[in-house]
Parts: sequence; C-alpha cells; structure tokens
Amino acid sequence: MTLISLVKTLNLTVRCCKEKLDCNVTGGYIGDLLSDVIANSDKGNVWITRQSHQNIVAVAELKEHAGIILVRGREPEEETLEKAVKAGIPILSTALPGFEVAGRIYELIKR
Amino acid sequence: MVPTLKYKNTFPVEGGNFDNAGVISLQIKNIIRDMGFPDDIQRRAAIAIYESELNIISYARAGNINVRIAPHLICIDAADEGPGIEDIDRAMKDGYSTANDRIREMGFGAGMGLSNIKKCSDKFEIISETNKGTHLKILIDIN
Amino acid sequence: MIVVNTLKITNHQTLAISGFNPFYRIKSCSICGKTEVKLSKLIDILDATIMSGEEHLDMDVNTAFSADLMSDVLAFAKPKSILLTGLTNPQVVRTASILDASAIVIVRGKIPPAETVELAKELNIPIVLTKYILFETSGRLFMNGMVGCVEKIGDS
Ligand SMILES: Nc1ncnc2c1ncn2[C@@H]1O[C@H](COP(=O)(O)OP(=O)(O)OP(=O)(O)O)[C@@H](O)[C@H]1O
Ligand SMILES: [Mg+2]
Repeated sequence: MTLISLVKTLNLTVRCCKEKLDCNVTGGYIGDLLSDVIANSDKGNVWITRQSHQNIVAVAELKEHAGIILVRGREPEEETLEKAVKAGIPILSTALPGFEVAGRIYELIKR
Repeated sequence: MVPTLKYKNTFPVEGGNFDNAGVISLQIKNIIRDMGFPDDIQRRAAIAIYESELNIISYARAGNINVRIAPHLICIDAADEGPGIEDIDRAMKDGYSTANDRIREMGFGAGMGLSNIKKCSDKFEIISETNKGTHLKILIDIN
Repeated sequence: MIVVNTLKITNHQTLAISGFNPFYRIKSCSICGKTEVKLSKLIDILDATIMSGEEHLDMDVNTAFSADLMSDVLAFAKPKSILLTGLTNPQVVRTASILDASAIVIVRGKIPPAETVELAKELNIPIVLTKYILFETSGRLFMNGMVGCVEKIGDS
C-alpha cells in the first residue's frame, strides 16, 4: 500500500512533501512517547501521533518512517514543517481520533 | 450574600513529586459524588483539579489547592510559588508545552491542561506573576 | 420495538451501515447506536490477560481511546470508554478513574508495576495486558466494531 492511497482513502490533509507520497507503507505505529516510537516502530511505518513539536521529525527520519499522521485536529508547528520539508518526511493531518485512523489503516492493510 | 459551604479544604502540593498526582482530584470526586452531584459535575471538577495539580507538580516549587463546595457552586483555587506563566495566551493554546522529557515520558505535556480546565469550568481566571507564582481560579456552576 | 432488516443479537439490533459512511463501517444497534463487545470478547480478540477487575468480564465495552498523553485522554475520552495505552504508571489508573473509563488495556507486553495493579484493584478498574502494539490493538478492536471517542468534553 502506498502513502498516497492512504491519503486518498482516509481523506488526509497533506501538510508537506506532496512529492514523497508514492512510497510504500509497511504498517502503522501509534505512539505519543518519542522513546517508545524510537524503540519499537519499524522502517516504512506510518506514524500516528498527537505530538506536533519539531522533535517528531528527527524520530521519523531516524526510523525511516513513510510519514507522520497528526490526529484529532492537531496541526504541525511551523518549525516542525520546516524540518519535515528538509528531511523529506511527509506530514499529514486529520480530524479523526488515533484509534479510528489506526483501525482504518489496519483494515486496509489486512484486506 | 455568602452561600453556606458544604465542604471546604486545602491540600498542599509538592513540586516535582508525581507519585501522588491525582490523589486530591479523586478524593474530591468521591466527596462530590457522595454529595449527590451529577456525574458530569464530578468529572469536570475532577479534571480541573487534576490538571491544576499536575501543573503545580510539573512546573512549580510548591502550591496549595483550595476547594470549596456550596450547594450550587464548586470553587477551586490552585495557587503556587514558582516561575509563573510569562505569556498566558500562549500557554492556553492547545499543544503548547514547555514540559521536559521526563514529564513527557510519563504521559504529560500534551499542552492541553489549561484548555481542559477552561472547558471544565464555567468561570476560569489565571493570575500569574513571573518568578513569583501562578493562581488559577476555577468556578463550576451546578445548575 | 423498531424493526429494521437486521440480525438480532441480545437486546440490541444490528444494523450494517456499510457504504453509508465510510468511517463507520461497523455493526451497531439501530436503537442505541452501540456495538456489543464484552470485556471477555475483547480479551479474546487481543489474546490478552486480565490483571485486575475479573468481576467485570461481562461488561460491555463500545468505545476506545488510544493515547499515551493523559491530558489528551482527559480532553477527549468519553465516560465508559476503554483506554488503550503504552503507559503503566499509577497515574494512568487515576486518570481512568477520574474519567469513569471502564477499563485500561496496556499494550506491547508491558507489565505494570505492582503499585499500578494495587491501585486498579482499589479503584475497581480492570487492567488488561496484551502483547500487541497499540496499532495492532486498535486495528483488531476497530475491525470488531469498536469506535473511537469523537466529541470533546463539555460538547454535550
Ligand atoms: N503553574 C504553572 N507554573 C508555571 N508554568 C505553568 C504553570 N502551569 C502551566 N504552565 C506553563 O503553561 C504551559 C501549558 O500548560 P498546560 O497545562 O496547558 O499544558 P502542559 O502542562 O504543558 O501539558 P498537559 O497539561 O497537557 O500535560 C506549560 O507547559 C507551562 O509552560
Ligand atoms: Mg498541564
């Protein structure tokens, strides 16, 4: 499954790196604690979180995530967007809660 | 006219000590429940106290939470000695937080606390002086 | 009683709203809007174990909230929802109790410290442990009809 197909199916708002959406998504990871995400997420995961401060970009870059989805209406801070553009990490956002976003992506992957 | 109080108590809160975070809030929640107030009021008061308690623990040296309950009103004052809040508008914004990594790893520091308090109260006021402290005044109407 | 062309489970009615709203492809009761998932079923779905609150196995759990940030939970979780989290400290139990959450599911195979379990027993809140990550946990429950909490507190 590609990130672009996720964006379309879940109707996510693309906040940056539009040109990087054709990458493959290997799975999802929900977490708001950076140390947990660093320790346990995998390469190619799409990271679902409520954290919007700039440190999330470094984590996603380190773990080679496909992208970050900010949930429940959380908007990225300006510094976060700047860093994400530099690092080439797509940031997406949605009003849906994390549980639903994870559920819907899980369903897509399982199908 | 001063309404007759059904309950009044002051709880000290120690800065930096997360072990008992939430204890005051749960204690008050039980008291409010036993007084027969509706679930929604119990929850709103408990959330407002919990977030106030956590901010004192997270950011201040020490503080006190004073709770007064009248038949139609719950009044919560959370006052601390600490750094104060420099820019209150910014602190009120969802997502703004200066919480350090230790606090974040415990699951706090979403930057939602003050706005949660506001949502739970019918009247909410923040009085703060830099390098002195912060005083939150919270009113919950029972009708 | 309102009869829709549905399958009946217990005293609720199932209504498949597939295709109606892409976000809520779930089976739910046409009268009260709720799905029927018992805590015992949730434990099956998650290959989980229960550490406190065994007497609540028969309880209905319908809405779920996935988060690691307590004030997010305080802001958005509905009373009676279950809290899915990677946190294990006693504050999680106090947060759940303050919100009237019905159970806590601790993910990723983490074992909570004794004080957390003690407190959960004292406050009568079930703690369930699963080895799955929060994503898998949410996904499995979502596919079994559980829903997220949508509104904010004070939005009533
Ligand atoms: N009592 C206080 N003394 C000094 N600064 C405070 C105090 N309360 C809040 N602040 C400042 O305001 C910011 C926002 O507070 P708020 O409670 O809304 O969020 P938070 O404590 O950062 O995270 P959360 O409450 O969601 O866990 C804090 O990060 C801190 O900088
Ligand atoms: Mg706070």
